[in-house]
Amino acid sequence: MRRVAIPERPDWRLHAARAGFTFHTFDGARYWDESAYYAFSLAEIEDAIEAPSAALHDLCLAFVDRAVRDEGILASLRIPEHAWDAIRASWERRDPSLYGRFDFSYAEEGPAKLLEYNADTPTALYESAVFQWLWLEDGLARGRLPVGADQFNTLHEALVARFAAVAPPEGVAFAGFPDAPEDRGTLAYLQDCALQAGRAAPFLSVEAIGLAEDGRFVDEAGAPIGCLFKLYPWEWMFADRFGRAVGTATTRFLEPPWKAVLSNKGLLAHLWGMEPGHPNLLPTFFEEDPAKAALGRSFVRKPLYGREGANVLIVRDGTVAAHGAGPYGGEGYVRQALAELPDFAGRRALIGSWMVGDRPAGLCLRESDGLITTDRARFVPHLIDP
Amino acid sequence: METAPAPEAAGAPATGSTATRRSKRSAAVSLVLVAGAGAAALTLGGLDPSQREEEALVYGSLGACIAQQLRSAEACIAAYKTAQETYAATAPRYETEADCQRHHGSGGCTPGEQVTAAANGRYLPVMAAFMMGRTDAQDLPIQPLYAHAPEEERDAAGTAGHGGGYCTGAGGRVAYAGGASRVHVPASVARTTSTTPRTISRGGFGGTGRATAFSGGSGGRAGGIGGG
Repeated sequence: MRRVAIPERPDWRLHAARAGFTFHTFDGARYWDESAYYAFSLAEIEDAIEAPSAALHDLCLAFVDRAVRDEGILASLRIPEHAWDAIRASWERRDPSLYGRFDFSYAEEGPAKLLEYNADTPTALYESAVFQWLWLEDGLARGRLPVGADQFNTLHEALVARFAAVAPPEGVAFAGFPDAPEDRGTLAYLQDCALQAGRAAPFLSVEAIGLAEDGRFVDEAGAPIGCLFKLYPWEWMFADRFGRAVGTATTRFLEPPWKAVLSNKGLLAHLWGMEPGHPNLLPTFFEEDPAKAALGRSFVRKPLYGREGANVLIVRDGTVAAHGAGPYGGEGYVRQALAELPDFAGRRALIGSWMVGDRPAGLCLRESDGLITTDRARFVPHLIDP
Repeated sequence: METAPAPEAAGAPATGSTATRRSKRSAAVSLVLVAGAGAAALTLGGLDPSQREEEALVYGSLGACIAQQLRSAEACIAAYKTAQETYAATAPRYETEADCQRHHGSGGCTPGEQVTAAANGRYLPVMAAFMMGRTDAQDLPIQPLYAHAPEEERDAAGTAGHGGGYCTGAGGRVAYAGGASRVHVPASVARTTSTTPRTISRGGFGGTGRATAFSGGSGGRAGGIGGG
């Protein structure tokens, strides 16, 4: 894994506009950053990222199977009791999942270490699947990138195929916040994929979802929603006023309710408990667990629920090295061994490994100036050396 | 936007410069909607090409139906009467006027007791039009129609303007370009009626996200709320 500096294409913003990439810059700061790329060997991709992702996903499914039958586990994840039946039923029906993203700390000297599993509402999808792909194709066509370079990125094909395989014939409604450009962009791309799979794919605001007296969720016009993709995490769904209706509604969800068991940092403690010493897992304990003392004076404390690095605390040799602000942590924390992100001249690179269905489907990298990857991180493309 | 597939090098000489098939990435990436058309186009009906359509007639008044003479005056009168009866019995009920207006537009709603005593205390969309088949042979149910003007689409429409059109009591969309009475409606919309009035509550999702994303020390995210 190397970081290669390269002049950005002078006309990349034009390419972005043509490709519908509207959220490449936030508050004047770049999000898409093609002033460099990361280069991997094929062996690194396949052996260090792809194969462990598939294996960890299998382990996660085994954990879900255990969790839905163990109320102690569900309680440890701070999942409200009124959601347990919905979670259990969705797993017993084998409601299909669409996608997820593992985040890894990976450096050449050791195996990739799982930091967390964004199993419910991962973003950075469009830029991974499309604009990163276009960047490579354009770079190859212009001779700016090494001849024969490849990319680990079957996301687009995999997403279209997944919708074709699991979306009901009548289509999927896509819900999110219309006023959040990044979320809206991710949703628009997923709508596009569903459409290419031959499904109707209307958007609706998550706040416009209605609940009819017969217990069905309905769209703005009152039509029942058969299948709902929501870019709105399960812990918020369950906490909302309609949360108790999820279990009795006939609406099916992408991601399904059982993903709530995985999109929770408590997962990391349970996985370590299931497979202590697993090469791709970091020792992790619930904050209440005295066993956390084994981590000593260097660790990361993460809220059970949280996103974009908010409320993450990094302690190195007994000293606070970084602390992200934010609104999370009310439900508790886990403590994870510190696996610092590799440092490329002051830039810290986080690897995102995409899953579509049950299969690894691509890679994305985000770069931060600090130890914690936040919503200010920059998306940097990657390639596989020829 | 359509992107050309990666050049296939099947049968290419083994120069070592290109693989015969780049196996780790998509062979082609095409976008039918994200590029160009914009998100608003996604909310228009009729996206599913496999869905059969019915030709139907939509009129804002009995007089318009009779005047156009596509159907007999008797058929117009019977259809209008059926639509009015169906309207009172099956129009969606909303708990508040704001809930109703959010989906049917300002001026699109009325207190329930003005329509039927059974809807006392609720709010109903006004019957904006009625829909009937182009011919009797289609055997389409007569349906009252309501203004379809959800707040989000009105906001998103911007300068391009959103046609809005109508929706049925069962929630089906009827795209309607002003002036034209003949419309093509998916068969599922034309043939699905609501038999019982439904009370729909709104706003039960999203509150936790709003409260969480816009509180706390970080001041909320610039680009995303629910994603991560």
